[in-house]
Amino acid sequence: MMLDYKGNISDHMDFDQLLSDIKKQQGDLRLFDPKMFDLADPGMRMMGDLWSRAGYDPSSIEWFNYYSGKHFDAAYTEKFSELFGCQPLKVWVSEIRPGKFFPRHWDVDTDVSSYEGKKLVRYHAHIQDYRFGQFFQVENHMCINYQKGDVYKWSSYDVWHGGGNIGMEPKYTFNYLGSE
Amino acid sequence: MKLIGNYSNIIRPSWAFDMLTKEGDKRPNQAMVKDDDSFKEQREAWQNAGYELENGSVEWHLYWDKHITEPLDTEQLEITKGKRCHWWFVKLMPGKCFPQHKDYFADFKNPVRYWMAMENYKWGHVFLIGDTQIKDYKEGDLFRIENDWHAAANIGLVPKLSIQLVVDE
Repeated sequence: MMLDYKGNISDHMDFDQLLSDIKKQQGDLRLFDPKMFDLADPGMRMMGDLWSRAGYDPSSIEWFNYYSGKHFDAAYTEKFSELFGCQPLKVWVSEIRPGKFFPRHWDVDTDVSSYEGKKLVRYHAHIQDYRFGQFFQVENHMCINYQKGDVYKWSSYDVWHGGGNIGMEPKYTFNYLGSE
Repeated sequence: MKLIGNYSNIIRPSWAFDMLTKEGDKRPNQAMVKDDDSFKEQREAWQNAGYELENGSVEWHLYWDKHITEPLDTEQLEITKGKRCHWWFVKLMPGKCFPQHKDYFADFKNPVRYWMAMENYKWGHVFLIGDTQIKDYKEGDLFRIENDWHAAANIGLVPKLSIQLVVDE
Protein backbone atom coordinates (compact mmCIF):
# COMPACT_ATOMS: atom_id res chain seq x y z
CA MET A 1 0.00 0.00 0.00
CA MET A 2 1.26 3.45 -0.77
CA LEU A 3 -0.79 6.57 -0.32
CA ASP A 4 -4.34 5.69 0.71
CA TYR A 5 -7.13 8.13 -0.16
CA LYS A 6 -9.47 8.31 2.84
CA GLY A 7 -12.16 10.59 1.44
CA ASN A 8 -13.13 14.21 1.64
CA ILE A 9 -13.89 15.79 5.00
CA SER A 10 -14.69 19.34 3.94
CA ASP A 11 -18.25 18.85 5.24
CA HIS A 12 -16.82 18.10 8.69
CA MET A 13 -14.02 20.65 9.00
CA ASP A 14 -14.11 24.31 8.10
CA PHE A 15 -10.84 24.55 6.18
CA ASP A 16 -11.69 28.02 4.89
CA GLN A 17 -11.75 29.26 8.47
CA LEU A 18 -8.55 27.38 9.29
CA LEU A 19 -6.81 28.95 6.32
CA SER A 20 -8.13 32.37 7.24
CA ASP A 21 -6.84 31.95 10.82
CA ILE A 22 -3.42 30.91 9.57
CA LYS A 23 -3.07 33.69 7.05
CA LYS A 24 -3.39 36.27 9.85
CA GLN A 25 -0.06 35.25 11.32
CA GLN A 26 3.41 34.06 10.41
CA GLY A 27 4.31 30.47 11.10
CA ASP A 28 7.62 29.12 12.30
CA LEU A 29 10.14 29.59 9.53
CA ARG A 30 12.11 26.51 8.50
CA LEU A 31 15.28 26.85 6.46
CA PHE A 32 18.16 24.61 5.48
CA ASP A 33 20.30 26.49 7.94
CA PRO A 34 22.67 25.08 10.57
CA LYS A 35 20.82 27.13 13.22
CA MET A 36 17.58 25.25 12.45
CA PHE A 37 19.07 21.95 11.36
CA ASP A 38 20.37 19.88 14.24
CA LEU A 39 23.24 18.19 12.45
CA ALA A 40 24.10 16.26 15.61
CA ASP A 41 20.98 14.19 14.93
CA PRO A 42 21.90 11.33 12.52
CA GLY A 43 18.65 11.63 10.56
CA MET A 44 18.97 15.38 10.09
CA ARG A 45 22.62 14.98 9.15
CA MET A 46 21.75 12.36 6.54
CA MET A 47 19.12 14.63 5.02
CA GLY A 48 21.49 17.58 5.01
CA ASP A 49 24.19 15.49 3.37
CA LEU A 50 21.80 14.30 0.67
CA TRP A 51 20.70 17.82 -0.21
CA SER A 52 24.20 19.24 -0.08
CA ARG A 53 25.59 16.50 -2.30
CA ALA A 54 22.74 17.04 -4.78
CA GLY A 55 23.79 20.68 -5.03
CA TYR A 56 20.79 22.39 -3.45
CA ASP A 57 21.17 26.10 -2.93
CA PRO A 58 19.97 26.52 0.68
CA SER A 59 17.90 29.56 -0.35
CA SER A 60 15.54 27.34 -2.38
CA ILE A 61 14.64 25.30 0.71
CA GLU A 62 12.06 27.04 2.85
CA TRP A 63 8.72 26.36 4.47
CA PHE A 64 6.63 27.61 7.39
CA ASN A 65 4.97 25.44 10.00
CA TYR A 66 1.81 26.44 11.89
CA TYR A 67 1.21 24.25 14.92
CA SER A 68 -2.05 23.08 16.42
CA GLY A 69 -2.72 24.87 19.70
CA LYS A 70 -0.10 27.51 18.95
CA HIS A 71 -1.05 29.00 15.60
CA PHE A 72 -4.53 27.52 15.15
CA ASP A 73 -7.30 26.20 17.34
CA ALA A 74 -6.71 22.64 18.58
CA ALA A 75 -10.41 21.99 17.92
CA TYR A 76 -9.43 21.25 14.28
CA THR A 77 -7.06 18.55 15.50
CA GLU A 78 -9.67 17.11 17.87
CA LYS A 79 -12.19 16.90 15.04
CA PHE A 80 -9.70 15.22 12.71
CA SER A 81 -8.74 12.75 15.47
CA GLU A 82 -12.40 11.92 16.05
CA LEU A 83 -13.03 11.38 12.33
CA PHE A 84 -10.11 8.98 11.92
CA GLY A 85 -10.07 7.38 15.35
CA CYS A 86 -6.60 8.33 16.44
CA GLN A 87 -4.69 10.32 19.03
CA PRO A 88 -2.64 13.32 17.92
CA LEU A 89 1.10 13.52 18.51
CA LYS A 90 2.10 16.36 16.19
CA VAL A 91 -0.25 18.34 14.01
CA TRP A 92 0.76 21.24 11.82
CA VAL A 93 -0.07 23.11 8.66
CA SER A 94 2.84 23.69 6.30
CA GLU A 95 3.12 26.62 3.96
CA ILE A 96 5.37 26.73 0.91
CA ARG A 97 5.69 30.01 -0.98
CA PRO A 98 6.13 30.20 -4.77
CA GLY A 99 9.66 29.26 -5.78
CA LYS A 100 10.38 27.36 -2.58
CA PHE A 101 10.79 23.65 -1.97
CA PHE A 102 10.94 21.02 0.67
CA PRO A 103 13.15 18.48 -1.16
CA ARG A 104 12.97 14.73 -0.97
CA HIS A 105 13.08 13.74 2.71
CA TRP A 106 11.43 11.72 5.41
CA ASP A 107 10.18 13.32 8.61
CA VAL A 108 13.10 13.24 10.98
CA ASP A 109 11.40 13.49 14.38
CA THR A 110 13.71 14.10 17.31
CA ASP A 111 10.88 13.08 19.67
CA VAL A 112 10.61 9.61 18.13
CA SER A 113 11.82 7.85 21.30
CA SER A 114 8.75 9.15 23.17
CA TYR A 115 6.50 7.33 20.67
CA GLU A 116 7.82 3.90 21.63
CA GLY A 117 5.07 1.31 21.85
CA LYS A 118 2.61 3.42 19.86
CA LYS A 119 1.23 2.45 16.45
CA LEU A 120 2.02 5.59 14.49
CA VAL A 121 -0.21 6.94 11.73
CA ARG A 122 0.48 9.77 9.33
CA TYR A 123 -2.14 11.66 7.33
CA HIS A 124 -2.20 14.77 5.24
CA ALA A 125 -5.18 16.81 4.11
CA HIS A 126 -5.46 19.45 1.44
CA ILE A 127 -7.02 22.54 2.95
CA GLN A 128 -7.55 24.34 -0.33
CA ASP A 129 -8.43 23.25 -3.84
CA TYR A 130 -5.46 22.50 -6.08
CA ARG A 131 -3.95 25.50 -7.71
CA PHE A 132 -1.60 24.99 -10.63
CA GLY A 133 1.98 24.38 -9.54
CA GLN A 134 1.32 23.37 -5.94
CA PHE A 135 2.55 19.80 -5.79
CA PHE A 136 3.19 17.28 -3.06
CA GLN A 137 4.82 13.92 -3.68
CA VAL A 138 4.54 11.06 -1.18
CA GLU A 139 6.50 7.98 -2.21
CA ASN A 140 5.65 7.65 -5.91
CA HIS A 141 2.27 9.38 -5.68
CA MET A 142 2.18 12.95 -6.92
CA CYS A 143 -0.72 14.92 -5.45
CA ILE A 144 -2.18 17.41 -7.92
CA ASN A 145 -5.79 18.19 -8.90
CA TYR A 146 -6.90 17.62 -5.30
CA GLN A 147 -9.97 19.10 -3.70
CA LYS A 148 -10.19 20.98 -0.43
CA GLY A 149 -10.80 18.39 2.28
CA ASP A 150 -9.15 15.42 0.53
CA VAL A 151 -7.38 13.23 3.10
CA TYR A 152 -4.61 10.71 2.50
CA LYS A 153 -3.17 8.15 4.89
CA TRP A 154 0.48 7.29 4.45
CA SER A 155 1.87 3.76 4.48
CA SER A 156 4.25 4.84 7.23
CA TYR A 157 5.11 8.13 8.89
CA ASP A 158 8.70 7.95 7.68
CA VAL A 159 8.28 7.45 3.93
CA TRP A 160 10.07 9.61 1.38
CA HIS A 161 8.14 12.71 0.42
CA GLY A 162 8.64 16.28 -0.70
CA GLY A 163 6.77 19.27 -2.01
CA GLY A 164 7.13 22.52 -3.77
CA ASN A 165 5.43 25.45 -5.34
CA ILE A 166 5.92 26.50 -8.95
CA GLY A 167 2.60 28.29 -9.08
CA MET A 168 1.61 31.80 -8.15
CA GLU A 169 0.15 31.55 -4.65
CA PRO A 170 1.27 30.00 -1.34
CA LYS A 171 0.49 26.32 -0.82
CA TYR A 172 -0.91 25.02 2.48
CA THR A 173 -1.15 21.43 3.69
CA PHE A 174 -2.54 19.98 6.93
CA ASN A 175 -0.23 17.34 8.43
CA TYR A 176 -1.15 14.87 11.13
CA LEU A 177 1.11 12.47 13.04
CA GLY A 178 -0.78 10.41 15.57
CA SER A 179 -1.28 6.98 17.01
CA GLU A 180 -4.01 4.37 16.73
CA MET B 1 -0.82 15.74 -23.27
CA LYS B 2 -0.41 12.63 -25.39
CA LEU B 3 2.29 9.96 -25.59
CA ILE B 4 3.36 9.70 -29.22
CA GLY B 5 5.85 6.86 -28.91
CA ASN B 6 9.30 5.91 -27.73
CA TYR B 7 12.41 7.05 -29.57
CA SER B 8 15.16 5.92 -27.23
CA ASN B 9 17.08 4.77 -30.31
CA ILE B 10 17.90 8.36 -31.26
CA ILE B 11 19.24 9.38 -27.84
CA ARG B 12 22.99 9.75 -27.67
CA PRO B 13 24.93 9.12 -24.43
CA SER B 14 27.00 12.20 -25.29
CA TRP B 15 23.95 14.44 -24.74
CA ALA B 16 23.79 13.80 -21.02
CA PHE B 17 27.58 14.02 -20.82
CA ASP B 18 27.60 17.40 -22.58
CA MET B 19 24.79 18.71 -20.38
CA LEU B 20 26.33 17.54 -17.14
CA THR B 21 29.78 18.87 -17.96
CA LYS B 22 28.86 22.19 -19.59
CA GLU B 23 26.99 25.21 -18.27
CA GLY B 24 24.89 25.77 -21.41
CA ASP B 25 22.94 29.03 -21.65
CA LYS B 26 21.66 29.91 -18.21
CA ARG B 27 18.14 31.29 -17.94
CA PRO B 28 16.73 33.67 -17.01
CA ASN B 29 19.57 35.76 -18.41
CA GLN B 30 20.28 39.37 -17.43
CA ALA B 31 18.06 40.78 -20.18
CA MET B 32 15.12 38.67 -19.03
CA VAL B 33 15.66 39.71 -15.44
CA LYS B 34 16.18 43.42 -16.17
CA ASP B 35 14.91 44.93 -19.37
CA ASP B 36 13.71 42.47 -22.03
CA ASP B 37 10.33 43.99 -22.93
CA SER B 38 9.11 40.76 -24.52
CA PHE B 39 9.54 39.10 -21.13
CA LYS B 40 8.14 41.98 -19.05
CA GLU B 41 4.70 40.52 -18.39
CA GLN B 42 6.09 37.14 -17.30
CA ARG B 43 8.86 38.73 -15.25
CA GLU B 44 6.42 40.92 -13.36
CA ALA B 45 3.98 38.07 -12.76
CA TRP B 46 6.72 35.92 -11.25
CA GLN B 47 8.14 38.77 -9.20
CA ASN B 48 4.68 39.68 -7.89
CA ALA B 49 4.22 36.07 -6.80
CA GLY B 50 7.48 36.32 -4.84
CA TYR B 51 9.91 34.52 -7.14
CA GLU B 52 13.53 35.60 -6.96
CA LEU B 53 14.83 35.76 -10.52
CA GLU B 54 18.45 36.30 -9.56
CA ASN B 55 20.24 33.92 -7.23
CA GLY B 56 16.98 32.18 -6.40
CA SER B 57 15.36 28.93 -7.43
CA VAL B 58 14.31 30.14 -10.89
CA GLU B 59 17.04 28.76 -13.10
CA TRP B 60 17.31 26.44 -16.04
CA HIS B 61 20.05 25.73 -18.57
CA LEU B 62 19.50 25.53 -22.31
CA TYR B 63 21.60 23.56 -24.78
CA TRP B 64 21.63 23.96 -28.56
CA ASP B 65 23.79 22.80 -31.46
CA LYS B 66 26.70 24.87 -30.19
CA HIS B 67 26.84 23.00 -26.86
CA ILE B 68 26.12 19.49 -28.10
CA THR B 69 28.74 17.25 -29.69
CA GLU B 70 26.17 15.22 -31.66
CA PRO B 71 23.21 17.52 -32.39
CA LEU B 72 19.71 16.08 -32.63
CA ASP B 73 18.89 14.96 -36.17
CA THR B 74 15.24 15.94 -36.55
CA GLU B 75 14.95 13.83 -39.71
CA GLN B 76 14.99 10.79 -37.40
CA LEU B 77 11.63 11.76 -35.90
CA GLU B 78 8.39 11.40 -37.81
CA ILE B 79 6.89 14.47 -36.14
CA THR B 80 9.67 16.73 -37.37
CA LYS B 81 10.67 15.07 -40.63
CA GLY B 82 10.51 17.62 -43.42
CA LYS B 83 9.00 20.25 -41.15
CA ARG B 84 10.31 23.47 -39.75
CA CYS B 85 11.22 22.93 -36.13
CA HIS B 86 13.37 24.10 -33.26
CA TRP B 87 14.88 21.86 -30.63
CA TRP B 88 16.70 22.51 -27.41
CA PHE B 89 17.68 20.52 -24.36
CA VAL B 90 16.97 21.68 -20.80
CA LYS B 91 18.79 20.92 -17.56
CA LEU B 92 17.10 21.61 -14.24
CA MET B 93 19.32 21.13 -11.22
CA PRO B 94 17.97 19.99 -7.82
CA GLY B 95 16.26 22.90 -6.08
CA LYS B 96 15.64 24.79 -9.31
CA CYS B 97 12.46 25.45 -11.27
CA PHE B 98 10.88 26.92 -14.34
CA PRO B 99 7.73 28.49 -12.85
CA GLN B 100 4.20 28.62 -14.26
CA HIS B 101 4.21 30.01 -17.80
CA LYS B 102 2.96 29.60 -21.35
CA ASP B 103 5.16 29.46 -24.43
CA TYR B 104 5.11 31.98 -27.25
CA PHE B 105 6.64 31.25 -30.63
CA ALA B 106 6.04 34.38 -32.65
CA ASP B 107 7.97 33.09 -35.68
CA PHE B 108 5.85 29.93 -36.04
CA LYS B 109 2.50 29.89 -37.86
CA ASN B 110 1.09 26.86 -36.10
CA PRO B 111 3.48 25.89 -33.31
CA VAL B 112 3.02 22.48 -31.70
CA ARG B 113 5.09 21.58 -28.64
CA TYR B 114 6.66 18.21 -27.93
CA TRP B 115 8.63 16.99 -24.93
CA MET B 116 10.93 13.99 -24.86
CA ALA B 117 12.51 12.25 -21.88
CA MET B 118 16.28 12.08 -22.15
CA GLU B 119 16.40 9.67 -19.19
CA ASN B 120 14.05 7.43 -17.25
CA TYR B 121 11.87 9.25 -14.70
CA LYS B 122 13.55 9.92 -11.38
CA TRP B 123 11.84 10.77 -8.11
CA GLY B 124 11.26 14.51 -7.62
CA HIS B 125 11.44 15.41 -11.30
CA VAL B 126 8.26 17.41 -11.76
CA PHE B 127 6.63 18.51 -15.00
CA LEU B 128 3.09 19.88 -14.75
CA ILE B 129 0.94 20.80 -17.74
CA GLY B 130 -2.56 22.17 -17.13
CA ASP B 131 -4.23 19.61 -14.91
CA THR B 132 -1.89 16.82 -15.98
CA GLN B 133 1.69 15.79 -15.34
CA ILE B 134 4.37 13.79 -17.11
CA LYS B 135 5.79 11.23 -14.71
CA ASP B 136 7.05 7.63 -14.66
CA TYR B 137 8.31 8.04 -18.21
CA LYS B 138 11.01 6.05 -19.94
CA GLU B 139 14.02 7.38 -21.81
CA GLY B 140 12.89 8.35 -25.28
CA ASP B 141 9.18 8.75 -24.50
CA LEU B 142 7.87 11.54 -26.71
CA PHE B 143 4.79 13.55 -25.68
CA ARG B 144 2.77 16.14 -27.52
CA ILE B 145 1.84 18.86 -25.03
CA GLU B 146 -0.84 21.50 -25.24
CA ASN B 147 0.16 25.10 -24.79
CA ASP B 148 -1.55 25.31 -21.44
CA TRP B 149 0.07 26.57 -18.24
CA HIS B 150 3.11 24.45 -17.59
CA ALA B 151 6.01 24.42 -15.17
CA ALA B 152 8.86 22.21 -14.05
CA ALA B 153 10.81 21.65 -10.87
CA ASN B 154 13.40 19.35 -9.41
CA ILE B 155 13.04 18.33 -5.77
CA GLY B 156 15.02 15.17 -6.33
CA LEU B 157 18.69 14.41 -5.98
CA VAL B 158 20.00 14.37 -9.55
CA PRO B 159 19.72 16.81 -12.49
CA LYS B 160 16.62 16.62 -14.69
CA LEU B 161 17.41 16.47 -18.42
CA SER B 162 14.83 16.83 -21.18
CA ILE B 163 14.45 17.42 -24.90
CA GLN B 164 12.12 20.16 -26.12
CA LEU B 165 10.75 20.56 -29.61
CA VAL B 166 8.48 23.00 -31.36
CA VAL B 167 7.20 22.07 -34.81
CA ASP B 168 5.41 24.24 -37.32
CA GLU B 169 2.43 22.13 -38.31
